[in-house]
Amino acid sequence: MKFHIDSLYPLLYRLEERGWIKGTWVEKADERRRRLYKVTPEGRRVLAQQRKTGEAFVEAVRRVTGNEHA
Amino acid sequence: MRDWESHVRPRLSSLRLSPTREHEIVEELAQHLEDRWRELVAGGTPEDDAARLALAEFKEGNLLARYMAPLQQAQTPTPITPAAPTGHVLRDFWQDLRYALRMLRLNPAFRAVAFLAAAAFAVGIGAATSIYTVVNAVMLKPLPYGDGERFVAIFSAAVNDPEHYGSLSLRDAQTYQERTRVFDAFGWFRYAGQTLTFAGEPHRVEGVAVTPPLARQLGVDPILGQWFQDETGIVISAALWRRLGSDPAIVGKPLALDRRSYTVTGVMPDYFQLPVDGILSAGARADVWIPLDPSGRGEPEGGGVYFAYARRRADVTFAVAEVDVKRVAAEIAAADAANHAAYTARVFDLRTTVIKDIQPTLLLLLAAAALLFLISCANAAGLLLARSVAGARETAMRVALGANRSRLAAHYLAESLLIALLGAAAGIVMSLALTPGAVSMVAGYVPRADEIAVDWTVVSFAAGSAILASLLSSLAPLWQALRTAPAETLGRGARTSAGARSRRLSQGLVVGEIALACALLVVSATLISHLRNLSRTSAGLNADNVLTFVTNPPGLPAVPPPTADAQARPIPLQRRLVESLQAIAGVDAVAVANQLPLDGCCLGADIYPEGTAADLIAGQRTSVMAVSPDYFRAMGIPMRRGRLLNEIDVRSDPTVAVISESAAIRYWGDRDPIGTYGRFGNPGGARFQVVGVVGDVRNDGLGNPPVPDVYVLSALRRLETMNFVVRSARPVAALLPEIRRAVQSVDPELAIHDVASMRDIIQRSMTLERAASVLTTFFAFAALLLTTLGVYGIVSYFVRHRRAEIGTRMALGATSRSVLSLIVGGGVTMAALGVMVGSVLGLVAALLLARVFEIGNIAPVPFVSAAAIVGVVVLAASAVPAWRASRLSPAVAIRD
Repeated sequence: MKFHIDSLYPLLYRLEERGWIKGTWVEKADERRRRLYKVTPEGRRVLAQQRKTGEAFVEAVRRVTGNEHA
Repeated sequence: MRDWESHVRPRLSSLRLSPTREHEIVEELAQHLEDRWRELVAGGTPEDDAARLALAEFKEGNLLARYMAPLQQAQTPTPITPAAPTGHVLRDFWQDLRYALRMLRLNPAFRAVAFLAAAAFAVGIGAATSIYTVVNAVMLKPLPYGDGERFVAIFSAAVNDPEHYGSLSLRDAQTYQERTRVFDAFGWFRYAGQTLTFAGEPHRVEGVAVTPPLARQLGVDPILGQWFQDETGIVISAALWRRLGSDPAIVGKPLALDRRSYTVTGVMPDYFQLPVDGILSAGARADVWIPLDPSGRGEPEGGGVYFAYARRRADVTFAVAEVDVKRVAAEIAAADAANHAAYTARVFDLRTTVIKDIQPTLLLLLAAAALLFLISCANAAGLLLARSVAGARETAMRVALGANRSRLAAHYLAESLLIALLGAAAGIVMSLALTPGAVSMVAGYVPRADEIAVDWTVVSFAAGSAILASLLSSLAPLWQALRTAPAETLGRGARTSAGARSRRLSQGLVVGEIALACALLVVSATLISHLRNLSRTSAGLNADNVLTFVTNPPGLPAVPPPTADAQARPIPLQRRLVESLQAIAGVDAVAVANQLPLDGCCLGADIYPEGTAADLIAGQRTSVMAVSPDYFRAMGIPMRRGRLLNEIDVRSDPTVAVISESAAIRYWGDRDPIGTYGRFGNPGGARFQVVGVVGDVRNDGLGNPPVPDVYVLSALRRLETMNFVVRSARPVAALLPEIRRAVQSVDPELAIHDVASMRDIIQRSMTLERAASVLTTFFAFAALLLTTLGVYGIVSYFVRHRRAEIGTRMALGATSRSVLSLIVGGGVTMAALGVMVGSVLGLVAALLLARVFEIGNIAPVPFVSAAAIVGVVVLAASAVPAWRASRLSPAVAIRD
């Protein structure tokens, strides 16, 4: 999967605003600080939920098209 | 690292990110680009190509902004930097308010100024609000009747005496009802009944007999039961119902009023009054209402004391109603001239009757509170002005950034509104604490006192005052700010720019404060000296060692019981009581009277000396005192001519009477009244012979001329209320139980009440004057305190600003003393100006006071003392900073 900067970061910020991920600035000696994102418990719950509906969607498409490579 | 940030930042510019957040995002994206670039360079791409590739991730110029636009963080409200108007007045003002709030939180200097100004506002708004709370309940709210604003009271009056008015006779009340055409409700009532017996227990009550239609037309429903349906019904007040044990099943139960049986038909709510507080009932509320037959059946013969209430039809104005009543009065006078000399009627809006006595006092206090309010505004304005001078650089910056006049005005208004609202909140709390104290000081003299409460009108009044206060107090700083030239101020620095202009403005404010405080002091000193003159006025009697109390003989019921011996009994009762009291050891004299001087004036009748033209003197108020023979000795009233009354006079025919000096002068002029005759009521009325003249008694208040007294023997008539006067040097605490025993040995059912020494009664007669002087003095000292703070503030402020100048003077040889006098001199100049203006204001106020409160002449003492107090206080307030200035080290002062 390849993200462009102008779609990746807005996506991250949106996920963060929804409380699904949380970004923190991490500082190391002799290095510029970096921002790391972690999935929050709420984010994990939503992910599990969406994975299930995602699977159901793939299954539905497979049955309609009879195609294994949906 | 390469400069990625300059590529990222423009792409975010269309978003409303907070500066911190924007900085973070720029940093994060720049880092991303840097990583990507390093990756490419490490893979062998030339540096410039790698940079181009990395930046190619921004596929389109505004894609990042478009993706981010829906995010919350891209919606941060514009930061508050009030300057140029945005075109939305309200939005600007809201922004200014928030800015002021933030300043309050973050800027300690502003917080200090705001705290002081809010305290000043709290004093001003609090005082105004607490007086308004009373004014609102007493004067502004409509009476608690259905269509209360349309009710009027009708009195009899004399054509040649605009001051006084009286009750109606039954026949006249009936005539008014029949012949007036402007009322849709009409009725009358009289006082009736004082001893109520319920479940075997006697209770002292105030009873009123009222015509049943009027009772219903007042539009107040009983909270239990209903109004009476027949002549045995009785309705009681909620207060009496509680006194009787709050029995929810009281309706239908029997009780007796003056030994006549009734059945309770209803309980009225607490707010119900009949009669309304005011002229007719000084503090005493009616507890029971019984029916009064409008046809007059069962009513005592001859006149009687009735009071009429009527409701104007909705389409009739008060003036029209008054004309109609006076027309009927003229008809009555024409039809029965003998009994109606100089007769007319007086109509009052019922609410006017409630507030008549207290209105001048309330208005005076409202005016005093208004002055205090103005002073608090000037005080706050001074503080805000000092701050705006100190903040001149900020103002200059705003003007340079495009703030126009209205934007600056909004800014100052927002600041002072915020402060004034805080002050108003504190003021409301203060008035909650202050009002009950002020009201209790005049307990019994404030009508509708139980309706006094903080309601939404009071809160809106406080909020309105806050808005007014903020408008007034933001004018000075605004005026100052509008004259700020940005280039000059920014160029020269704030310190030098304070300038003579703002100093003059601040001084003007302080002079105004001093003037208003001085005027308030003059008013309070005038009232104090008035009160002192009053209490030094001789009442015309010797009030020392005189104890009074009241007892009521079993009263005349509304309808006389079949076997009425009531007329016969009380006469021996009076004498038996007097004799029983006289037997107490240490009692020098005992007397009974129908009324006491200085305790509400006066039960009277017209008198007509024989041989004088009736028209000239008709209708002038006279007080008829029915007294027992020892009254003059008990009260210490001196005899002037002739003789006093004695027991044997009961049998003399015609009646003998003693008159006061003012009665002799008014009715007999230069003639000697002793031995001459006069008549009561009308030129053909009951005849009496004058046997003596006694000294005048100030029966209508110490400040008012005495109402002429005519004394007759109390044994000749039945007293509804027996006022006993006991002269004894023994202490009250020891005497009272013996008095109680003596009274009960005569009749165990007699209760004594309203025990008061004659001194108490005299003191009580000055209650309103005392309350007015105490409250205005309180306001005046609050004003003085604010003014002191104002003077202190301004003098120390200018000392601070003139440090360099003072240091230079001292370096050039000025002594501490000359510095001291330079600065104190400034204070003295302000004080002198303020006292001058204040004295003029005070003179106007004192002249008004003299007219309203019938103060004889305006003495110079209040003016001198007010000026002295203000002078001393201003001197003291400016001496402190002056002293500090005189101790400056020139080197330090100039260097700073």
